[in-house]
Parts: sequence; C-alpha cells; structure tokens
Amino acid sequence: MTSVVSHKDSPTTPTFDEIYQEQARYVYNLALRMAGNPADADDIYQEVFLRVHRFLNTYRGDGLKTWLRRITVNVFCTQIRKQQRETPEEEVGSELSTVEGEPGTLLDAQELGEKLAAALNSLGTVMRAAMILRGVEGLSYQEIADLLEIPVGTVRSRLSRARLQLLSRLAGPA
Amino acid sequence: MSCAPFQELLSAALDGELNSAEQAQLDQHLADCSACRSLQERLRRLETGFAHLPEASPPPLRSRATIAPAPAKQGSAAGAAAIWSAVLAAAASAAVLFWNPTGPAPRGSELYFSSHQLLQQHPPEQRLAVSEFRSPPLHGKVLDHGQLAFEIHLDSHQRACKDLQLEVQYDFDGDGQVDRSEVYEAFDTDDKEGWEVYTRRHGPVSQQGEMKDFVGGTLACRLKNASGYLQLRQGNSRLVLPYHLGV
Ligand SMILES: [Zn+2]
Repeated sequence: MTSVVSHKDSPTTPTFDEIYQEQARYVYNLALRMAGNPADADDIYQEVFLRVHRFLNTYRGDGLKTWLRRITVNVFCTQIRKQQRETPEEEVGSELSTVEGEPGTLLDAQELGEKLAAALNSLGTVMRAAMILRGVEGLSYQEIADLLEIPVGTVRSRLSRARLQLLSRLAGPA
Repeated sequence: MSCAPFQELLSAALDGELNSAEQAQLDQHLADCSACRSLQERLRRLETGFAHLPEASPPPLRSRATIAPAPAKQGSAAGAAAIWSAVLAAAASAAVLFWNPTGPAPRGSELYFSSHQLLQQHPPEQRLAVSEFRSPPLHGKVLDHGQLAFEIHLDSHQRACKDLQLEVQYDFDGDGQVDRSEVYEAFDTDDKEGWEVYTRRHGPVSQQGEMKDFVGGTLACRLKNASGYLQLRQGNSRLVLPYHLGV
C-alpha cells in the first residue's frame, strides 16, 4: 500500500478512505492515551474523522500527522472543557520520596510500556495530555503550549510533576 | 540545598528545553548530588517506556455507510465508492464553513458524501455524464418551512465545466419510485486548479411532488450537465436535509 504522506507533493488531496485506512490506528491511540479511557477515546476518534471528512478540502498537504494531531487535540480539549471534569491537578508532595526510591528492578521494554500506560491513567487530564504530546509525539514545549492553550512555563512544570508521579507509581506496589 | 528546583530542570533537560545558564546550574548540582544523578537515570529509563506503550485497535466508525455510486455505463466504478455518513443531529453552527456566512445556519440533519477522483481516473470515453449518490435508508420527520441546503466541492482542473445542476430525488418510502424531485440553479466551475463550492443560493428552480416524512426511503443526488461529460472531481460534500432524522 502506498503511503498517503508520500503524496504530499502531488496536487491530489488524499482521499478520506486513504486517510482513514492509514491513520485510524494513529488517531485512536493518540485519543486513547490522552483521554485515558476507551469511551472518551471513541468519542474523540469519531468526531475527528467527521471533521476530517468535513474539512479535508482545507488540508493543504503540509503534513498529515500534524494536521490529524491538531484536530485530535482540538477535539480532546473541546471534550474536556465541555465535560468540565478535569480533576484538579493535585499538588505533588512526593518528590523527595521518589528521589530516595531505589531504581527498582529493570523491566523489559514491553512490561515497562504496560506499567507506564497504567501509571499515565493516574495523572490529571491535562498533565497526561502534555506528557503524551511530549513523550509519544515528541513535540516541543512551545508546540504543546499552543495545542493545549496553556503557558510554556506550565508545560514545563507539569511535565516535571507528571514524570515524578509516574516514577513513584512505577516504583510503588503494582 | 533542596533538590526540588533541580527536578524540574532534570525533566526539561531531558526534553532539550534548558537554556545554557540553567544547564550549567544543573550540571554543577549533579556533580555534587547523587540523589539527583539517580533520578536522572530513572527519568531516562522512564522515557524509553513511551516507545513501548500498548496499542489498541480502533473501533469502526459509527454512522458511516459506504455505498457504490450509480453504476457507470461502462467501466468499473472501483475506487469511486461514495461515502455517506448520516449525522443524526441538528446542523451545528461549528461546521458552517461555506454556508452563506451572513444568513442563519440551515436547520436539519446533515448528510456527507464524497467521491474523490470519481471521474479523473476514467478515460474520457468512460467519464460519467451523471454523477449520482444515493443515501442509506432514512427515517425521519420533515421540518416545517425547512429547506434543503447543500455544499458540493468541485474542481474541474484547467477546463471550466458549465451549467452543472444538482437534482435531488426523494423516494420517501423506499419503493423505488421518485416521490419528489428538485433541480437547483446551475453552477459553472472555473478553469483553475483548486476547489470551488456549489451551494444553494436560491430555492430550487423546479420541483415536483410534496415533501413527506422519510420511512425507510432514500435520497439521491444527481449532478449533471446538459453538455454531457462531467470532467471534474468532487470532494467532501454535504447536504442539510430539512428533516429530523432518527434511526
Ligand atoms: Zn539533588
């Protein structure tokens, strides 16, 4: 199967079906990781593809992943604002204990990934989203700030707190 | 000295987001603090976990029916499947991109369809003179004083296509008979690459039959022009039907 991305220099817009077939998995997993549960992820994913269908003609060929990510994060942000159920980002009082913790046994990569997925779900919504956009998507602090509409300094402090919380989850009892 | 401020620096350093002064500060602290060196090591290991998060398979899209367009006289319609998705909700203002921006948003239920490169990929003698899309079965009540609205994205590349007309055919009960039809004012595409949008500016120029409720019937959209071939591509398009569609 040819890649949609490789078509970006041609004047032809990728079709909805091409985008869906090649990117549904990416969009759904991004939504799932940011939302933290399959029900919200499904809502986001459905809405993303409706918007893709509606607005495909406005896509200018400047990076399909970037475009889809922007739509997904926008839908995600709309959803959390609408639901108004972002849990207040609780203060982290456990920095010192995480510093003192032992590195622990070395997990193999897959095991680490599974434990990390569970630990991510313990984070507040925005903290988790920022962590996914950084850790999985590899975005800069500025890009994350723009997408989530929060200050760059907040991105930086939340990522730091998110990592400490993740470490303490991973070190703690399963 | 407290390690707390350095924890944030460690995290930002991992992301390559420290300025040189902060980096120097951090390096100096790390030289003296084994706890922070240990934390740095653990943070690095944590980072590798993001590449190994489990993946889930995406669920199917809801309300999305893939149907074939009306059969071409010759040749196959492969690759030209039309997509309809019925959105059983009132037409929301958020989606108003090309509707008359100063007028009220149309009321009703939205239907989307698409047929990228429907015509491009056929040799000229096989190009369709009529491009038709048929909806999945519909159920729903007609809205009082409602009007159909549409937004059809077209591009005829570097050759203008004159006098395109949309004809909408309603089969309310699904018996295969056309119960109502509407023909809208003609539209010309330009001779430049890029999409144009054919929308309803006035009511239908001609119509036959009464509006009724849909009871398992279908709606067909036919795009035609008098001069024969439609040498154009059609993008994501939509209708707002003056109906409250349900399942
Ligand atoms: Zn320290």
